[in-house]
This record gives sequence, C-alpha cells and structure tokens, in this order.
Amino acid sequence: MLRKLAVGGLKNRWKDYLILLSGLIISSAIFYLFETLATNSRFLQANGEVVSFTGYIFNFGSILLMLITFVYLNYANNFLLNMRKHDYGLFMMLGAKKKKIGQLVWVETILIGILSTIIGIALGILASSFVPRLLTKLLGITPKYYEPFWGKAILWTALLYLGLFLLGAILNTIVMVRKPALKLLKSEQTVSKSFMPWYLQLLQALVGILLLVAGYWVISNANVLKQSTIPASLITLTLGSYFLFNASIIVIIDFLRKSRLAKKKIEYFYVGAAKI
Amino acid sequence: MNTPVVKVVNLKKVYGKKNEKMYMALKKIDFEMQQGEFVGIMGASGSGKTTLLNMLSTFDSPTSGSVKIAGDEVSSLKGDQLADFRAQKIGFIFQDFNLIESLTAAENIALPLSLQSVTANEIDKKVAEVAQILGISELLKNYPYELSGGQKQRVACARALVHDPAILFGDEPTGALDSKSARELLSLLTEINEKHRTSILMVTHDPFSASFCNRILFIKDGYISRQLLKDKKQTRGVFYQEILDILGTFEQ
Ligand SMILES: Nc1ncnc2c1ncn2[C@@H]1O[C@H](COP(=O)(O)OP(=O)(O)OP(=O)(O)O)[C@@H](O)[C@H]1O
Ligand SMILES: [Mg+2]
Repeated sequence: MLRKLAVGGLKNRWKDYLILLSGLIISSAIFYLFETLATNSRFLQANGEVVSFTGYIFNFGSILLMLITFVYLNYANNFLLNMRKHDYGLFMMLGAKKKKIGQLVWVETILIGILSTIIGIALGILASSFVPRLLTKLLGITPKYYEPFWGKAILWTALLYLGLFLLGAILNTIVMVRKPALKLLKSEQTVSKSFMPWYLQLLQALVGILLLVAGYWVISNANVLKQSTIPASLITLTLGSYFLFNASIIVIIDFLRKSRLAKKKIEYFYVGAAKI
Repeated sequence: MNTPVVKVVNLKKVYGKKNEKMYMALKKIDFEMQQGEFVGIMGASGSGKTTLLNMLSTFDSPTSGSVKIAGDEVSSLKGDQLADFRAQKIGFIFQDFNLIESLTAAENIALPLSLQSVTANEIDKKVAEVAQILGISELLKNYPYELSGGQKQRVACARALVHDPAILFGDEPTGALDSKSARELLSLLTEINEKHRTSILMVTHDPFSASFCNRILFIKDGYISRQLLKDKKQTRGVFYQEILDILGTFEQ
C-alpha cells in the first residue's frame, strides 16, 4: 500500500514530475559525458597533448556542473515538495503518523532519484558514443581507448546524483513532518509559480546565451585558444544549452502539455520508464 | 448519563501571529452534542463555521478553551496519539471530496485503515460493509475520474466512516453537488444517523441541507446566537420553513 501510494503519486502527476526530471536527466547526462572524458586516463595519455589537457578542463566542467545541479535540485526538490503537500496533508488528517509520512516522502524522492539517474546515464552513454567522431572531425585524429560505456563515469554520476537526492529526501521529510496537516492540505498546488523565481530563469537564459555565443566564437577563432579550443567550446556549448534549457523548461513543459501528440509520446516514455 | 460526544467549553480562536493583525474568529463558544445526534451549524459567510469545525476535528488548535471529543481533551493530544485519535475517532467529509486520484474507490475508502496498518483481510471486510451502506459496492473498482460528483462524495463519506468513528464531521458536504446528488447524500446521512446511531455534525449555509438535521446551531459574531430543535413530530418541510424564518430575522 505504501508503495502504491508513492508510485501512484508519481504516476498521477507525471507531467509535473517531467519538469523536475528532465532538467536532472540532462544534467546527469552531461555530467556523465564529462566524466567519460575526464576519468579515462588511458585515453587521455594515449592521444597526445591536446587530449590530455582536455582531462583537466573536463574535471573543471564537472565541478561547475555539480554546483549548478545543486542549485537546480534545490528548486526541483522544493517543487516536488509543493506538489505533494496536499496529499500528505490529507494523509495526516486521516490519521497517518509522522513516521508513515516520512517513509512515503523518502520512497518517492529516492524513486525519482533512481529513475532520473538511470535515464540520465543512458542518455549520457548515447551522447558519448558521438565523441570519437567529433574528435576525428575537429582534431583530425582517431582517438584510441575512448569508451562511451565507462564504469568510472557511471559510478561517479550515480554516486553524485543519488547522493543529492538522498539529501533532498532528508530535507523533504523534515519539512513535511513539521508542517500542520491543514496548512499542507491548503497549500497551493500550482507548478510554474513555485518552481523557480523569474530572475533566476532570466539569469540562466542570459548566461546560457552568453556561453553559447562564446562557444561559437571559440570555434570560429581556433587560432586564439589553440589547443584548448575543443574542450573550451565543448564546455561552453553544453553548459550553455543546459542553462538555456533550465530557463525555458516551464515554457517547454507548458507547450508539451498543450500538444496532444507530444502528450501521447510522453505517455509511452513514462510507461517505458516505469518498467525499469 | 453517557459522556457527550462533543463538549465545547469557553472556546476562543484568534487568528494572526503576534506581530500581525489579530482577528478573533470565535469569541466564546459553549455547546454539547449527545451520541446519535445530527447537528447542523449555520451562519453567514465568515462567521467562523469552518474555524469551529476545524478545531472540533483536531485540524486546528484553539487559542483557549476546551474541546472534548468522546471524552478526550483534544488539545492534550500530540504526535502519534493525535494521529491515532484521528484515525479512530474522527471521520471528516470535505466540500471538495479530497479523493486521491491515483487510487480506486476501494483504496480511497481503505486509506484510514491502510495508514494505520490494518490487515488486508480486515480492510476488505470493512470496505465492503461500508460500501454496502452507501450503495457504492458496484463502484469500488473505479477511479475518481470515472465517478460523478455525487458518487465521489459517497466514496468520501465511506472513507470517513470505514473506521467506525465516534463522530462524522462535514464542512459543506453538499456544497459542490447538484441538488439531486445533495438530496441523495443527505438522505444517506440521515439513514446512517438513524440506523447506525452515528453522530453527525455538519456545517452548511444551505437551509435545505440543514432541514435534515435534528438540531441547528446558528453562529453569529463569534458566538452561538441561537439554536433550533426539530420536534419529533415535525415534518422536514415544516422544519425547513422554520429555518428560513430564523434566517430571515438574522438578515435584519
Ligand atoms: N488561517 C486564517 N488566518 C486568518 N484569518 C482566518 C483564517 N481562517 C479564517 N480566518 C478568518 O476567520 C473568519 C471566519 O472564517 P471561517 O472560514 O471559519 O468562516 P466560515 O463561517 O466557514 O465562512 P464560509 O461560509 O465562507 O465558509 C473569517 O473572517 C476569515 O477571514
Ligand atoms: Mg467555511
């Protein structure tokens, strides 16, 4: 029953959870991609100086991404909490003990964490499989020992993202258990309002566009940055797209909601994801 | 004599935190309700009906005064004790049903028992029993979105009764229903009250709904300004007229 309540909560509002999930999935996919480049020492050493220098840059990129994700997760988590307040308030009114509420919050948050991390890593593996071709095209080398399916990267990505969700689960439990039932029941359930303040979205959009422009500039003026052109452009372009994505996520989801076709597709996506 | 199912003494409720603007929603409320009564609370919008009901049903705490439900002083209950009390003694019907969309009618009805970790066998038995009483046995497998408003409210009512509470509260339970569904629900409540001797306390501003009660308390300006008892021999129509008359005098 506990499981049914938790899963039911997810199933029922998957459109809203999609907002939360998509940002995290993309972030974990990018993180995974960076890690395949940064933690594969054999690949870094075997392909000359340009590539070995890449490792440092991607380490730096990973850390940057981690910080951004931390902020993003904070909002995402808050939003998750808001979405469930009503139901949890009702459960309390029907006589659920704090321990039960705690278990429910815990199971739900962790379930979402596992789901988005798995999808994120899968997407990351897919994206990484294009890296060798990209390197060939840009550097004119055939990289040796690059592995899109890289154990270390999987491990680090899983550790980081599950760790973040664990933190989220703990915070959510504390908040839910402390609030009076009536307050929870009455709290607003709107999504977009409680997600991210407009100025943060605007900031992300601006930073995103700036990074994208910088990325294209770096590529088209390769003689300026010389050997760091590739990593610099990769990082600016991926992070730039990620920021832009985060900023426009509410708009994207609203659009998806309205489009019948997309709705069907996402339903399949959800059903597929639920089977994992 | 039996302990009253509700006993309210000197109840006061002030809204607003220390530094905010204070608002005294209830000034001094005293009343008793005996086991098996069907009581209505009426009053103008903003007169404090919901406030009173929330305090009786342990959802909110009074500023001062005492509320006893089935003999227990409610304000002394904390944490797990409070949760158990809600799960065992209190049944509540909301105006907007508050069913969980992802659960079937049966699972919704079972919620108070599931949350208290009652065994599956026991749950099935209780749910079947209460569904029978409310005439929704056929609907148990349906999800809320497959039900009409009236059916939803009957499911919600079953959920409020499944654990045999000492009292059933309702805050405008017919407020979101069309007149036919409202009448059906009220007849059911009356039947439950008469056959099973379930105590019911219902807030309403609709005189028609109120005419199903045995006794009506009128709230005004934070006090119970008067009450109206239905005579055993009185028909509902006559009682309804009497309620209308009283509301008429209130207007002036
Ligand atoms: N949480 C709150 N904080 C501050 N004031 C409140 C709060 N809840 C209610 N009030 C005020 O207390 C008064 C009584 O409200 P209450 O909801 O009990 O009225 P009511 O009789 O149920 O009205 P209605 O028929 O419209 O439902 C109102 O003036 C309302 O503004
Ligand atoms: Mg009210």
